[in-house]
Order: sequence, then structure tokens, then C-alpha cells
Amino acid sequence: MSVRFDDLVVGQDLPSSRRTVTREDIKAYADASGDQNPLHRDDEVARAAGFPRVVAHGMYTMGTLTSWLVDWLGDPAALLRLRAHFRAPVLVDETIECGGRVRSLDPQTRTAMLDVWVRVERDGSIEWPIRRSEAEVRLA
Amino acid sequence: MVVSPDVEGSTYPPVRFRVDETRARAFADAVGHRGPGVPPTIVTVPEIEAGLDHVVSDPRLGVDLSRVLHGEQEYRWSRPVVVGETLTASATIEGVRDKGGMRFLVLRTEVVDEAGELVASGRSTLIVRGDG
Repeated sequence: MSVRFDDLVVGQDLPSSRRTVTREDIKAYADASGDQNPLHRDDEVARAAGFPRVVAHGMYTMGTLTSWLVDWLGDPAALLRLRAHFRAPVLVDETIECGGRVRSLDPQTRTAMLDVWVRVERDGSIEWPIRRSEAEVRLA
Repeated sequence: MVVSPDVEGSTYPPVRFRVDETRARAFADAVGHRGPGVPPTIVTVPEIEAGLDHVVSDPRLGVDLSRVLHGEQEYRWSRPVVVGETLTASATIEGVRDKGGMRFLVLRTEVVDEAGELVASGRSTLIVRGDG
């Protein structure tokens, strides 16, 4: 079932979704995308770069955010534009939460601007692997 | 880290990417795409090959892949990608600047279909950490 433009109001929260990122998930993304940066498979390389262990690709996180968004939209064609700022790493075995909110609506073009984010709880505080990011969608 | 000024605006050779069923499925599984169609961010695959892969082997830039972090990414889609088509991606170095011991590289990638029509464009900001 697709979301309809008339169903949306400014300030509305999108239903959030959580996913735990395993080492196998990161490897599957490396193989599917062709991005074989050792930061994403070798703990020693990750530590040398200042991370406690292997981190997920930024594009894995953005790809996961996109899947969540398209799942909510009900139609990949509804997504016109997506911009993500990567602000914190996602460490292997962490649980990420994708979320968003309706920022503005344009009834003439039936497009909506959404604020979107990915957050993770780490050591009792919230980190934002993707924040201050936005999606432009066109709905029926 | 010294960059010759002619790097900005330079374009790398285009790469072709066939969106076959197997690759589309593997990518969909990897990003948790459940719905119909191809995941929109599958354009990352030719984008990496057209851009990042060329950047790390570009002697003018001297980039070590393990020092590359992704700062920002934007995509605009003209239409959804479909299984069976062949896409062509070409990347341009839009900007290079050094700040706080890091180098920021902005790459712009255009992804077109067999008819030469734009399917998607991407803008990536890559951050290359310095030696210290």
C-alpha cells in the first residue's frame, strides 16, 4: 500500500525501523557494491583509523535508510532526491534506527520534503550516523 | 598533499554496468530492500567504479583507500532503475580542498541509460584523512 500525498501533514513522524548490522551484512554490502575498503572488514585497519572495530559503509547505512523509506513510500519511483550527511560511524553489531519527519508539503507538485536520519545508541548516548539529511518525494 | 590545479574539472572514463537479476537481487538483499523494483541506491555500484575506483588509482591524487571516509552523498533520480538495462556512469572531480589536515574531494557522477537519457546523478564528498 502506497502512502498518499493527502495522508501527510507537516510535522508527522514516519514509522521508524530498527536493524542490527552484522559482519555478514557488511560483507554482503561490500560484495554487492564493489566497495572493498578494508575499513569494513579488517578490525586492525579500523583501529588504525581510530574506530574500535570494523565499521559499516556509509553507503550501506544510506542504502538501508533508502530501503526503509521506499518501503514506507510503497514505490521506488516516488523517491526523487536523497541527501545524506554521514556524521558518525556505524560499528559492527550495533542496532541502527531509521526515522524521519515531514518537513514541508507542496500541494501543486504533490511533493514532500522529509527530514530523515539514522541513529544508534552507544554507551548510553545517541549518535547520529546520518543526520540533517533530507528526501524529496512525489506522491499520488 | 600537493594537488596540481588541473585536477578539478577532470573527468574519468565512463564505465558500463548491466543491471542483471542476480546483481539486483544481491544488492536488494544487502540493503534490506523488500518492495518491488530495484533499490534506488544500486546506482552506487557504477558510481564507485566510475569515481572512487579511479580516484584511488589516480597518481595525481595519491589517495590511500583505507584513509577514505564518506562525508556526504546526494542522489537525484529521473526514474527508477530497471532490471535488464545497461547503465553508463561517468564521474567528474568537481572540487578538491584541504582543510584541517584532511582533503575533501567532491565527485559528481552522471548515470545514463542506453538512449543516453539521465537516470540518476550523484554527488559524493569524500574525506581523505592525513597522516597524523
